[in-house]
Amino acid sequence: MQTKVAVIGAGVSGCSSALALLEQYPNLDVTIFSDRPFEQTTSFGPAGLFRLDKLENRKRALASFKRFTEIHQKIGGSAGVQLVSGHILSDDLQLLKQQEACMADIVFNFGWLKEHELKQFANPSKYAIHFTSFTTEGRTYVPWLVRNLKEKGAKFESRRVTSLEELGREYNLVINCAGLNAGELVSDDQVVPIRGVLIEVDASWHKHFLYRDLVTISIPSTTSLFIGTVKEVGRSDLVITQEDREDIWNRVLNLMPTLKNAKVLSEWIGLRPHREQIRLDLETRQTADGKAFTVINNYGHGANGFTLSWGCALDVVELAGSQLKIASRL
Amino acid sequence: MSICIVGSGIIGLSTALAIQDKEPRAKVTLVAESFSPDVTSDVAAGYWRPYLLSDPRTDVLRRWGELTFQHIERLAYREPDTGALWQSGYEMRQDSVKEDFFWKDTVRNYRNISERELHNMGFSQFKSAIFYTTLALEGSIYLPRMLEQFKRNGGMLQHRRLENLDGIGGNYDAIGNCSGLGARHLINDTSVYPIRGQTIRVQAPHIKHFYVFGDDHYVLQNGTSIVLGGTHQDHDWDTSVRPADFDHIWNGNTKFLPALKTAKIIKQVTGLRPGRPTIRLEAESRAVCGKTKTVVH
Repeated sequence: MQTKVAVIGAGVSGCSSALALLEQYPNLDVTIFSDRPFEQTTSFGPAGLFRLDKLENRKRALASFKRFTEIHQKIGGSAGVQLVSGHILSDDLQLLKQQEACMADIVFNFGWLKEHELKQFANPSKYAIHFTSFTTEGRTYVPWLVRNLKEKGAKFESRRVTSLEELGREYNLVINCAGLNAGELVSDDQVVPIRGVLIEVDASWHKHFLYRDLVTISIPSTTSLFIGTVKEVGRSDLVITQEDREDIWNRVLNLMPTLKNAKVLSEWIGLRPHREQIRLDLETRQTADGKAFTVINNYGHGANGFTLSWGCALDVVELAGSQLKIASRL
Repeated sequence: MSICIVGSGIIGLSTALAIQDKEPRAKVTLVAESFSPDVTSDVAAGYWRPYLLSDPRTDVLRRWGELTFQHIERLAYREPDTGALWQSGYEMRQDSVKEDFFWKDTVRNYRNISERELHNMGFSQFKSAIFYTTLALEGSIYLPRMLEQFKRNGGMLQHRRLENLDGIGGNYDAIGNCSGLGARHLINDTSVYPIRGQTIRVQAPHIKHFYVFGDDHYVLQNGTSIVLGGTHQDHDWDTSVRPADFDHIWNGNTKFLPALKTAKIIKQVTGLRPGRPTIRLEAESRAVCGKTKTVVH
């Protein structure tokens, strides 16, 4: 009996998990479920700068960074992967030291700016770090994952999954990558949206990322520049307000005055699927008819979804390993 | 006080503006055979990095370079749409030669990259590299801006070719000779010679760094395009685009940076860099139309 795998969610977590599984088990029967067009998901909008916030996720971050390095070297732009250098400015030394502890040995070229170098910015801060990292922009990288998945025979279905049991009847292994909705499926109320706003502008001369603290950001994409953002815990309205715009433009122009004439191309709201800790674990369940099936949870990545996507996907593969070897003829 | 500047490239225009800035009451006239977009400065990538300089006076070069860097830096962070931009990137070599560049404290974030990190990044053919952040000032954007500013400040223009310095007439108190390669015929300075460069301008917006590969290949950032190079052919006056040079530039750069393969080629251009064993920056007293004048070269 061949194992049938269902992945709930076609965002970066779902697609990465499915692809990692298919790279390890090329004959696996995989179906990916999504309940809305990709453009309406949280994974569509991010500029995807690789950047880590928590020490506990270093291993997964490193695995993702290695993967992006490989994709960048072999393919580059058409996969939505770019090598980008830049700075984070802050008056909060602890904030920058935390960044250093999280990723100085993972990203390239990590360093602290010297005193005379701080003056190069229009409104300098007390401290600044520099590093070279990757961006994996949602709107290009995830479609690239999807193309790869289709080439490997993965199937895609448009359906809102309302219970794991409904899938458990047909599938042996269900990967829960439903992002903001993942908690509902497993009675976990810890997933909370954190609203973010990105404004896309035309400023192709801006080749670096530049941040002030972690909330005033500018990140170049393959064709434009993203500026933003906000981090509103618990807020989930999807319409940009005039207040959002004024707040973001004030902060961004203070950081980068030369953006003042930049033409706005689009505006986007994303809801980061936040959880105190990422949930990545395995549980066995039973359908009403007593059929056992396995669930692997991979959700709650908050603001680090893209950064941790491949590392988490590899962990999914490892957890799935024992199940797949028992139940299939692969 | 009336001053004549000969030459409208980056040197001539910068000189003219600097004079207007320092001496607002001076009447400045700029005489040139060509203006942007037809000067060498338009072809250049405007990359701040001392290059192909045989001038041994590193102290002086460092000072000129540092002041220029600061000037471009002010443009990059304060004024929009000047043609100034920041770029970070790598210079890598296939040998282990470590040069001690006199300009390494002028640029930002300068550091040596280990062979291991180079290989981690996927540049397996290279043994040593440096990383730094520098500026670019695109001539084709900046020159027209400077020209507008020059005119707003009351500057006058004359669009004509001079066969010698007397051609400017006898009415100026001082003259600035910023004629580049033109100095050969303007003042008979035969030590000025062309260093021919051919480049390919491409669009590859997913590439955000500059790269210099050894001595003969480079990928430099401009605002809406990337400049691929290069050649440095001494005493070569040929401004036609050569297929052999194209092959060298394209094949080499795409081999070192495969992500370039999807780049869209916009145009190919050549420029003649005005080389000289040393940069001539000095004043002399000289007869112009029979009268002794101060000429600053």
